[in-house]
Amino acid sequence: MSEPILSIEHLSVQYEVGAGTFRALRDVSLELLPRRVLGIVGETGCGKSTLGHAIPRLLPEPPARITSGKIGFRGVDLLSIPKWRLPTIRGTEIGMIFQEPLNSLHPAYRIYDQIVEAIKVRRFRERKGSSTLGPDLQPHDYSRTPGAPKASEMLTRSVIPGIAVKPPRPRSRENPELREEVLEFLRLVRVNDPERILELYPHELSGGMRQRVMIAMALSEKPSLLIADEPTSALDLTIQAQVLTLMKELMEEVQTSILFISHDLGVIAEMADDIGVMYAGSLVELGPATEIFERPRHPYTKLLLRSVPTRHKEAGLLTTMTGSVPNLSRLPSGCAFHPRCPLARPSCAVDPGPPLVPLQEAVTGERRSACYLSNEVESMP
Amino acid sequence: MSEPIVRTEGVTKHFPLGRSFGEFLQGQPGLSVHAVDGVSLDIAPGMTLGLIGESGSGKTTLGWLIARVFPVTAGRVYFDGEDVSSLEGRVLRRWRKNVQVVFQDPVGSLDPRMRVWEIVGEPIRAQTSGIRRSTLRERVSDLLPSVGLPPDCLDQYPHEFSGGGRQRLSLARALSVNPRLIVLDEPTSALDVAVQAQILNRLVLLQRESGFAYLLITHNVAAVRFVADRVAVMYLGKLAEVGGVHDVLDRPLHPYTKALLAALPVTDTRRRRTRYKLSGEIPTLIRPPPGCRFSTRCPFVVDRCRVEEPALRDLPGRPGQLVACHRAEEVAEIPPTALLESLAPELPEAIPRITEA
Repeated sequence: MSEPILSIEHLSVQYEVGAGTFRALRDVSLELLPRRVLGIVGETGCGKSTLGHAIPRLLPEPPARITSGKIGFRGVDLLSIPKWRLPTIRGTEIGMIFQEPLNSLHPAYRIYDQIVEAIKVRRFRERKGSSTLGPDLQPHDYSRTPGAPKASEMLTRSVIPGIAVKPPRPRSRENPELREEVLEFLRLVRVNDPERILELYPHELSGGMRQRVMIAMALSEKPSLLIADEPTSALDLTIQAQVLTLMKELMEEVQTSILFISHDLGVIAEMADDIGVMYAGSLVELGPATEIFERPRHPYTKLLLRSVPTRHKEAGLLTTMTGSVPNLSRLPSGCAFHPRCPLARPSCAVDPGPPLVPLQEAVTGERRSACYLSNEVESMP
Repeated sequence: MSEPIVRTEGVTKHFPLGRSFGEFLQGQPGLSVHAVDGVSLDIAPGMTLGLIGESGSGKTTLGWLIARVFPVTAGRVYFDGEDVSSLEGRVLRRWRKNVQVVFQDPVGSLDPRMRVWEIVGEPIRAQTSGIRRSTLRERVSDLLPSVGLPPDCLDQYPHEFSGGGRQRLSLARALSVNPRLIVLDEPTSALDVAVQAQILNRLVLLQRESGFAYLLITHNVAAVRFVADRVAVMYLGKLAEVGGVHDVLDRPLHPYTKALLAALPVTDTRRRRTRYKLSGEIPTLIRPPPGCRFSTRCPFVVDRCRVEEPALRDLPGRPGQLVACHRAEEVAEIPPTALLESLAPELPEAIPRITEA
């Protein structure tokens, strides 16, 4: 078995705000093997986006605080490396695609300029001749010069305060070679008429087209890990199917590992090799996709799968879970799911919480469930 | 079949767009968004019509026209045989108790500064002048258990509720005046699947008890499959297909319905190895394509589709199912899965590879 690209060990994150401490991630451990797609599924507030943001260290700290754990990425612990090295990993080694592409694209720049920026940054790093994770790397540290603008600000800041920067319009100064490279990326994400798209601003594109541009930008840096956080949730059904098809095709070409986060069980089933199910900040089940869908071994997974409507009302009402998702600042004792669990025993309420334990009878790959009663899930009513 | 509770005849809604002064001087015609174009359908009493379509298909506009949120541009809406498209003023307000709407956004549709009893009681107050506060509170607290809320939360504010709880409040508000029809505009889109199941069950139970009709507007095909008795599929302001829920969702006739069903992510990991064949974007509603509106993306398109607009018609052997497609007979038996193909291991040469060998 090859080395995992990403290995997270006992990661815990909490948000410390006025109203209390919200335990967004509790003791999450997982591994992502090269060229695999790990789907993370769960309801709103289960911590799946916190997980996606914690890996490239994009969480706002404070209020977020990583209280424990390790995020091993290609042998480096992202939690212990100095902060100035993070921008050299984000975007290059770890690509990201978020739900709303309009928030991720700069509204005042043409698509051309945004993709060129990504390519230029990559070329700059390649000229420096160093792997972004290598010890020889010494990029300029903006934080050392007091008052110096951050890299991100330098692109948009006006020289004279109060006067807005004009959006760039350097058509004549465009480098034909760069232009060709940008076009290549747009063709890669199957954009029709890429010559025209280049000249447009993000608001002039449809949602599906914007998400294609985001995918092109994320892949232009050739990341070894791609974090896709609800990438198709804002899109229409037919457009979503097109973007998912594109992602599947690119997975074959680009050979990157993907952490695919979604609340949609159908989308996860379509994309993921392995699935991690999250509930109230912890991973409750982990295993190969087919196994999770066919033989869930955690009561929550089983109930979640059953609440998807698949039949007509005349064939009976839907199975529902009692109660609601717990407040992350006042989690129940023991297993966080025990108040809603039909299998719960008195011991589930006192035990400090079952760890994600490997199951014995795993057929293919590794199968883990955070339930002492995982053997009884199959016969659950 | 009994008399339909709602019948629309060629209902059309165009939203005019502004013209610049220059365009005005040049005598250019004003453009408009053709949100709904000549839609005719029926809703039977006590039944659920599911209206599915993607964003911009005009499904919400149609629902709001039926609920008389705004007036029609052309066509007629009949409620109980009475033309309601021209109602105005006091008559309209009195009529409103017949149709209530549950909106998509559970945050935006509830006033954050009103308490539960004021929100839920507002339609009652609008219909009954001079109702006493204590009577109103009593009626609201009697109503809350029917949507699964405790009767003692009368003095809470909407922010104290979860998304599902707020949607229950919206539903209670709609139920408060005993309407004949409830227009559900994406009632579960903002909710998680587990909460969605609770709300859908509640909707079914309420309908069994009280016998009102639903117009369920959603892009969520799974929810429609569970709740609806009949289904209407809209694309770019027009009806593509109408029929019984099992007919439309299991044996679709219109290529767009097939495309929509093929795009539906289902919890089946075998779909991992498939690619979706439909390409193209949804055209703009300002200048909808001539002929059939789906002709720009349809995999079965022929020249006739680009010129001549297909009318909604029935097919021999498919009673109760109407379809607007010239080639409906030919494509009738093609399953939605025909729009999926297995993922080719080898990709065309034209696409550059960005990984080094």
